[in-house]
Amino acid sequence: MRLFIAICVCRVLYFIGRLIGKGTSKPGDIARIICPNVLKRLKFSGKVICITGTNGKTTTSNLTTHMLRENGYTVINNSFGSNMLGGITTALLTNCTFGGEVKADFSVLEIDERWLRFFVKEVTPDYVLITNLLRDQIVRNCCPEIVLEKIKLGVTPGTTYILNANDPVSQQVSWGKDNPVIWFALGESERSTKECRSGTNDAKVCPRCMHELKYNYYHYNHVGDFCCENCGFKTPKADFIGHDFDFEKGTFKINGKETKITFDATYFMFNTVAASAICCSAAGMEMEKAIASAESFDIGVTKRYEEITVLGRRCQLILTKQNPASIDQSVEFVTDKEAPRTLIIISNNMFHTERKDVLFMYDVAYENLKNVEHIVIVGKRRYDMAVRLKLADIDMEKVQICDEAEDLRSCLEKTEGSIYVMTSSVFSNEDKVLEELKKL
Amino acid sequence: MRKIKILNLYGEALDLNGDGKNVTAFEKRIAEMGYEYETVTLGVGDDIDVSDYDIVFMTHGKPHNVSAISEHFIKYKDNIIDNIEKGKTFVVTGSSNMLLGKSFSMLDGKTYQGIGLFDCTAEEFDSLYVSDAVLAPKFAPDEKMFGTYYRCESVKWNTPNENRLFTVLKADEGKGSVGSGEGTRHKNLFATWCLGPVLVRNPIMMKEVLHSVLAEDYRETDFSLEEKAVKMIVEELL
Repeated sequence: MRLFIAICVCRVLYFIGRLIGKGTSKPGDIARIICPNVLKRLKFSGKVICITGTNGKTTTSNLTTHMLRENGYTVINNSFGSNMLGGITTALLTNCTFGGEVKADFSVLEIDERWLRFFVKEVTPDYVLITNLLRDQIVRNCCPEIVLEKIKLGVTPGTTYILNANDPVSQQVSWGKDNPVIWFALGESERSTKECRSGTNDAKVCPRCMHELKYNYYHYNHVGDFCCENCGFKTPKADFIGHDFDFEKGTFKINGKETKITFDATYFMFNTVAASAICCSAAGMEMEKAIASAESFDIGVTKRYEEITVLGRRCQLILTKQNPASIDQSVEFVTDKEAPRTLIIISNNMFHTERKDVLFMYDVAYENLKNVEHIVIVGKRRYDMAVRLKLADIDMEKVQICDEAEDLRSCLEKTEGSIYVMTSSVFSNEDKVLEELKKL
Repeated sequence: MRKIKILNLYGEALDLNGDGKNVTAFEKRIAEMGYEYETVTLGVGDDIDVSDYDIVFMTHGKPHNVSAISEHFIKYKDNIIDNIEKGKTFVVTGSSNMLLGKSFSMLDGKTYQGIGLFDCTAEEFDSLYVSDAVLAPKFAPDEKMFGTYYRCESVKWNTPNENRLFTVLKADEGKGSVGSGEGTRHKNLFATWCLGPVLVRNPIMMKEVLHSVLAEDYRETDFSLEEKAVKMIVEELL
């Protein structure tokens, strides 16, 4: 009876929440109060796939769901909301029968990396995919290894792990465990580098023996092809690998089958290989069908890179996450653009906490901005950003510190070329700057 | 021309939250003053003799890495303590402090040894201690610095108050009492649980460290941007 009431209450609250524009966690949270361990009581007729990691879990989850649906499978996922226990509970209770049966071929669930261990107490996933583990939100996570330890607490017997062979951190989840592992990876491309160009590398030393970890090439941060000459720890052989990249033609291959590069970014190609690994392993899908369905996926580029006109010039907003790897990718996005370029960096206190530390700035390779012609800094932490850019050997003659959002016009009038704004949904006070920009 | 030799001890393993940039900032100041520098990074598997260097940096690292290098580090206990007592400049930030204390126990249930320079023990716990802080250095009590604390260790540190590096002027509510001491200054050892780019962002501390290395060879450089940045952040906090 408790289960039935929990499902009913969750659905009513979810429906009301949608009408008034509220989040999706609360209905699930309240259902969990009514019926503790509610997920344990559900009966899954299909397979449960959990997708976690620092970056790429939302995209990989949505891409996997799209690929499975395109191939005729029924899929439940939590793409509409929270990836913590409340949000996942809402997703499942609003898609099951009143008797608690989840009638779908697959439940594809994006889960916050710190919450997986709680989810598995109630549901044993058939597959867990970890996209990567990178430095992220140090207020919550400290370092990737702390998150790794939390994920390891949730390793359940019988679950197959789909792991990034290029990531020496996240793959440690399989150490000392008997769980089957499926490896995915990207091979070397013309964009791979011999030196790490990112601001951080969390695997400069071997996690087994602390001796130097050598890389044949890097994709980004500590993700690449590595080997420890002291103890032999090295990139495992991939079961699913992206290779033969032809960026001019816009194609690459996964396990020998050619596919289009639908969004030209290394991390998205990782996501595509990872989603293909799930589809081929969990659904037994043929690779040709998997990659054909991936090609029709819309990553939502227009939302991530919104374009506006400022002072008659093209202005592109670049949304970043609150982690150095994401900001590094935004830096790379700007440096790849045609000169002359003007970059506006909005630098503020931390969102939610208003904490004033800016440690993350020192984990980003702002050194790569040397060739950007004009930089304008705004926000509460603008002088801290200026100090960081000075340390990065950026020519301070081309850096303007804009003390008030209202002064943006005069600052921008001294610059030229397309404008790029590095902004984030997780820093505070950015709306005001964006409002000012949109007025110009 | 004078050449400054810098040792970034375990710089590959201990490099979290921008701490390594303290070394970069120090190098740049040395170069701006017109001196040459040479930076050496040593790690597990290397022999260590700190007497070869003018300054030694030990920066903040992941708990796992700090415990993993302790066995190697304590082999050089006598060399390190001897050089600190002789006045060698050491800058130690964040979790590296655990290596200078007596011992520290981690979530893996094991206890690791430090070199015992400080009467200090630490215990890792499963949550983070986080705080912004305004600090007054003991060596310049009228000045104000900004510090950041992120740590997952509970620390029992019995350094006498006169040997503290800073006085805490402001910390997050419930995160350290105002007026208490933080860090340790022992001869030319500067040790603080503050982490990240402590020297980059706090000119007063960078100058003190530079003075300890260069003495009469110290030359003025432009810190105006850094001073403005730290003044803004301190004023917001106080």
